[in-house]
Parts: sequence; C-alpha cells; structure tokens
Amino acid sequence: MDDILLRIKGLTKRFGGVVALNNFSIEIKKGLIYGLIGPNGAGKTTLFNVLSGFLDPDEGQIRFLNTDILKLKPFERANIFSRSFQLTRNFLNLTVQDNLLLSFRSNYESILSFIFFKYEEEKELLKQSSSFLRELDVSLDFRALARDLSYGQSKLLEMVRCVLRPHQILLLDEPVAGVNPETRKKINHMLKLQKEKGDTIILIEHDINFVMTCSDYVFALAEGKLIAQGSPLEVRNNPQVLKSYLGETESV
Amino acid sequence: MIEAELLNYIIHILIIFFIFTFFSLSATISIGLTGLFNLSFPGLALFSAYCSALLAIHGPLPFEICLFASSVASAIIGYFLSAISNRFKGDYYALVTFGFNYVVLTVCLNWESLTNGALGITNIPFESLLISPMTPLKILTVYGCLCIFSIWFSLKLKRSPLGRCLMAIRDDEVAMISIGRNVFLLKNLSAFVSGFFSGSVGALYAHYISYIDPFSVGLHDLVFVLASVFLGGLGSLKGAVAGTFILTSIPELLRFLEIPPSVLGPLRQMIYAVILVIIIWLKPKGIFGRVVV
Amino acid sequence: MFSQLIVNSLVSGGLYATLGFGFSLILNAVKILPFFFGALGIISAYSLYWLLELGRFSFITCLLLSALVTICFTVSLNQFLFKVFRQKKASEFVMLVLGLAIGIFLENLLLMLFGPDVKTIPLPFENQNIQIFGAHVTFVQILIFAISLPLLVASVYLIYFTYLGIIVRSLIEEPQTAEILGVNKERAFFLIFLVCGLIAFLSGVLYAFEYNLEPFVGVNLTIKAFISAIIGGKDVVPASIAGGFILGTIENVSTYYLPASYKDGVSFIVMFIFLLFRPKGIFGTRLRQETAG
Repeated sequence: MDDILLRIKGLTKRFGGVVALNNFSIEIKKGLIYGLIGPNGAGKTTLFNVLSGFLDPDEGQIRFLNTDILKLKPFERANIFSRSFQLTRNFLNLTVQDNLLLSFRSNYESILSFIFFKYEEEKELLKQSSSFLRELDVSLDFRALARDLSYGQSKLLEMVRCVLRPHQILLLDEPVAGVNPETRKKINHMLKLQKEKGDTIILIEHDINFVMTCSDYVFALAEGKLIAQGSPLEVRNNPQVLKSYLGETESV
Repeated sequence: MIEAELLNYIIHILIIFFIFTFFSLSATISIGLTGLFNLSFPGLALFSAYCSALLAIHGPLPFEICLFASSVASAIIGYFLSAISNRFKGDYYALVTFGFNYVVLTVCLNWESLTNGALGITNIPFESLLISPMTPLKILTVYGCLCIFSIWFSLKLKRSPLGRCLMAIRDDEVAMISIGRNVFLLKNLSAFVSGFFSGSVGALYAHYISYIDPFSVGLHDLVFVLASVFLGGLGSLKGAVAGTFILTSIPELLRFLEIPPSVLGPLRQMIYAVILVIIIWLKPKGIFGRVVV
Repeated sequence: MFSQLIVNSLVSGGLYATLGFGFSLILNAVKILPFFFGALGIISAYSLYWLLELGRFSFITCLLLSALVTICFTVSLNQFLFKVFRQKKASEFVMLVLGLAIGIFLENLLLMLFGPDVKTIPLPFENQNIQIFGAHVTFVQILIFAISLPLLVASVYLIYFTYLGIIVRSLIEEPQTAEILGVNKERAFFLIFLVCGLIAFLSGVLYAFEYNLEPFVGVNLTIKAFISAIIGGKDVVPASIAGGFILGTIENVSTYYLPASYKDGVSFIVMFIFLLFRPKGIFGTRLRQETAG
C-alpha cells in the first residue's frame, strides 16, 4: 500500500462517439518499469494526455499519493510526470545546450531577476548534463541546433531532457519508435540506469521485444479497456492479448 | 544655411530612427522571441502618446516621469490584453490584438473632452528634470542613450534563462507546458515588456513632435515595424536595429524624387508591404535571423 | 420606432452576415486569416466607381465588369500568391503576415489611386424612401436585404446539401484526410476563392451604395466580418451569418443609448464580451484543445 504512487480509477474519455478510454483502472508502484501495450487507437496516448493534463477525462479519478491530480493544471502536473512524445518534441531553434538547460528550473526566469544572470550560474548544470550523457555513452554537440539533429539524436535528446528533469514518474511514449539498434540499446541502458536510481517509469511501445526485456509489469489495452495485466510473460501469453494485438491464435 | 538644414534633417531622421527602434524591440520580444503574433503595439503606442501628452500638460509633469509612467501603463495594458487574448490560437490571437488598435483609435477620436478628438493635442511641453533647455541635439542624445540602454536590456533578456523560456515557447508551447513552465504567465510577461517598449514609442514621439493626433502614431506604423523586424531577421536584436535603420533611411531618398505627399504616404506603405512579402518569400530568415518561422 | 430598429438591424445584419460568411469560409477552409477580405470588397466598389466615371458603359455593364474584376483578382491572389506559399509549406504564421501585407497594400493602393475623400456611387435609380409598418426604408436597403438573404441561403445550401459542399466541409474538418481520399485541394481552393470573390463583390458594392466609399473602410469591414464570426462561432461557417445579424441588431440598439459614432466601439465591446465569456461563439462546437501526439 505504501509504495503505490499512482492510482487511476474508472477513467473514461470519449471523443464524440468514440470511447478512447473505458473505465480504465490501474495502480503504479514506485521503482518499477511498466509497459503499456495495445493496438493503435487502444487509448495509450490518450491516457498519457489525460495524465499530463492535455485532455480532461469525462469520468474517473487519478490520485498521486494523496493528491487528486485532476485538480492540477497541466504545467503543475509536470512536477510529477516527465513526459516524452510520440512525435519527438524538442525546441528546434534552440541549441542542444539550451534544450538541456531547460530541464532545470532557474532562478532567473522572472522579470525581476533576469538582469542579474551570469553564464557561470549554469556551469554546474551543464556539467551534470555532460556526465549523464557520458554515462549513457551518448555524444551530442552542445552547440548544434536541435533542428539539425538526426532522428536518433533528437529522440535521445528528448529522452535525456525527460530524465534530467526532477520528476516522480516518467511517461515515455514510444521511446524507441523508428530508432536503429545502437540507439535502442542506449535507451534501454538509460531506462535500466533510472530503475537502479529508484525511478518509476511507464512506457508505451509497439516493439514487443523491447517491452518484454525492459518492463517489470505490463498493461495491455484494447479499445480503451484494460484487457490484461501482469508480468511480461503472462501478458504475452494471454489469449485476449494475442487475439487483439499480436494477431496470433496460439500462444508461443 | 544649407548645411544647418541638412544637419537638422539628419538629426531628425536619427531621432525618428531611435524612436522606432523601440517599436522594433517591442515586436522582436513579442513576435520574434516568444512567437506571439501580437499586433497591439501600435495601439499601445497611441495610448501612451496621449497618456504622456496629458500628463505633461495637465500635471504638469516632467518628461522623464511622463515617459516612465505611460510606458508602465502601456505595459500593464499589454499584460492584461495578452491574458485575455491568450485563449486563442495564432490567427485569431492576431486579429484580436489587431482589433485593440481600433479600440484605442475609436476612444481617441471620440472622447473629445479628454483627447480633443481628431484635432489632437498641441503644444506638448518638453520639460526635462535633468536637461534644460531642450534642443534637437540634446533630444538626439537623450533618445539615443535610452535606445542603447533598451537594446542592452533586451540583449540581457534574450540571453537569460527567461529569454530562453520565451524562445522555447515560440518553438513548442506544448513541450514547455510538459516541462513544468507556466506558459500563460510567461506569455503575459513577454507582452508586459513588449508593451513597455511600445509605450516608450508613443511618449518619445509625442514629446519630440510636441503634437499628437489619433493618426500620428498607430496603425500605419504596423507594416513598417513588421517589415523592419522581418527584414532584419525575426528574433535577432541586431536585425531589429538594422532593419529599422534601413527602412527609416532608404525611404527618405524618396523625398528627393518630388512625389506629392498625398501619393508619398500610401506609396511608402505599399513599399513596406511589398518588402515584407519579398522577405518572407525569398529570405524568410531575414538578414541576421536564424529562426525558421 | 421598433419597426425602424428591425429594418436597420436587418440591413446592417445582412451586410455583416454576408461578410462574416465569406470571411469564415476562407478562414476555415483555406486556413488563412483573410485580413484582406474587406479590402476586396472595397476594390469592387472602387472599380465600379471608376468604371462609372468613365461614362462609357451602362450601369449593368459596369456592375458586371466590376464583378469580373473582383473575382479575377481574388482568384489571382490565390493562384499567384497563396498557392506559391502553400507549395513552400509556409507556416500559418507566414500566411498571416502575407494576408496582412496584402490587406495593407491594397488599401494604400486604393488610397493612392483615388484619394482619401469620400466617394459616392451614382445610382441609376432614385433611392426613394418608402414606409413599411411605420419604418423608413430606402430602395438600396431593400436591395441589400433582398440580395444578401438569398445569397446566404444559397451558400448554406451549397455547403450542406451539395457535393461541392461536402468537399469544402472535408477540407474544413480534416484537410489531410481529405487529400488522401482524393480531394483535389487546389481545385477546391480555386472554387472557394471564386465564391468568396463574388461574396466580396456583392458586399462591397452594396456597402458602397448605402454608406459611401472611403479607402480604409476595408479594414472596418474585415473587423466586422471577424466579429460576426466570433459571435456566431468561428468553427462553424454558417454560424457567422447568425453572428452578423446579431451584431447588426446590437449595433443599432446601441444607437438609441449612445451617440452614433460609438457604434464601432460597441461592436468591439461585444467582441470582447464574447471572447471573455463565450469564446466558442453561440453555435461554435469546440475550442480546439491542443492535444499532444
């Protein structure tokens, strides 16, 4: 009971006639990596959008520890959730360095204080970012514009930004979609590192192997409903999951 | 004799350039850095011009106080206008802020007991606390210093974490929300600073020309300012200054072509509009800009 | 008195409704903010004026030629400017600047060609005043109503009951899907601009018949169109028709309590009230939320 961070109860979201989330209820415990799988349109990204506050649910409750987070504005929820997006969102006209620095709250972001800002103030944060990148064996040119990065590098930048931000739960939406095996390994490594540090992660992925190797626990969605949950192997062999998602009629 | 005339003419052009640089700074902060297509800056300048004129006449308050007070007032109005308009996406936001200019114009035209309507306000005194008496050369120096200070201020803003936040909002508002920044507040702050600079334009202009009417500052400056910042490069402070300088000085060459004033006015507007279209067609980044719009 | 109010409201309302409809159509289907929409209307009026001044053609011929000019011009704008920018995949922002620049260019062109004085269009018939239920109505006013109402009915029929309408609606709702499913976007835009050119022509000319002609009326008309769209609901194209009539009514009611020159100010206040308390408009469907994908 103590280590349950997030309780989602009876979450329902409709778009006109379509029910994107249907009476969805799950619990997230601290320190585990959760996989969220399901066919396209199952409601996975909708769930993330509701959690981040970009969508308001029609019914349901979401509690983080003892707080009803539905009362929080989207930017306030970012104190809890650090989120990445299906279509990578970096600040394209800013440098990699600026992108990374934005992960940290600065005291010089108000009208009264910005005059007093000096570059030295951020050296420490840059060192922190650099050493984290080294840990991951990722090299990014700090002075490159985010717009000029390759797809894999953009994905990595977004991941790093997400992780560097102080957060309670990481929400990763298809972190390895379309990346080459090299980058996939690095992201996998990053997630393992985070787990060692006690971080809690929920990731959406279509790459079943990735989900199986990475996750401690898996939720399977179809048509907005939770159809299975359990260890990766259990869910993998669940007949309903096989039918709706994997398109197989027999378990392997 | 001719030399004195020429000198006075150059001083006049430079003063106008300094005044309009404030406009470009305002537009750069709002449109260039934060990505808000906030078109209310002409209206804020007109408001501030009247505000400053009335304070100078009825106070009577010295120039520095008039300038500061009306700039702050513009900044506050800019803040609240932004707060109201922010619920709209891009193009409606632009049109709402554009509409604000008409509200100001309508009030200035109709509230005759205060503003003297279409006749405008004349004989605005230029009483400075520090310098007396005022000559054009002294005005040039004062305005130049204020201008340089404002450019320095804007540079500081751009290169600070606050500036970084504003530029990030321009790039991706959703991402900014998801990294925990209060985007609504930041946008309003941007409008506040931008409004302050727009307000400065009005006050500086009113005191220099010593006459203000509902059409002296305002809507017809809109295309000039937009052309200046796009020419210089959206988001670049160097560009804002350069663009303003180019567009202030080059049309002055038109004066020597002996075109009748009734044609000159609209012709200049058309030229600015064409320049604007050419820039966004051929070189959208402008001269110094690095931002892909 | 009450019947006069109704008559006046229907007349202004009819004009605003027509303007609002054309404005909303371009805004929603082509996704460009038509800053220049009013200017198009004024172009039609000025071209009619000029053709009549030539004295060589009959009124009807001038009318038809003027319609031709307006429609050709509107379609050319699309083909030679907007299409080019669309092919460059210009952002919404750039299209906005383009629309603004075009609007400013056109207004100043008219100012330069025709001068700032008010022009009247010599009507081929006597604009007699008749009485209906105690209200004074002129022929022109009846004409406005008689043309705008069927035009609007036909337009709504077009959008909701014809094949072309389905194409237009698909472009409004889901432009990418529409393209994938084979809708020829460019052809559709051509037709939309054609229709809007006609609407601009009719509203411009009718306006000029009733109210006389000045170069900067264009912006005023664009703003009224925009306010009509806001009141009705900016997402739903026919809603701006209702919005237009409501605006007309409110404006005319206000003249009983305030001096007439405040009419425009009143429409702004109405706009701000709607923006603050009901930004969707009366019939608007949704405030498109930014969903993160």
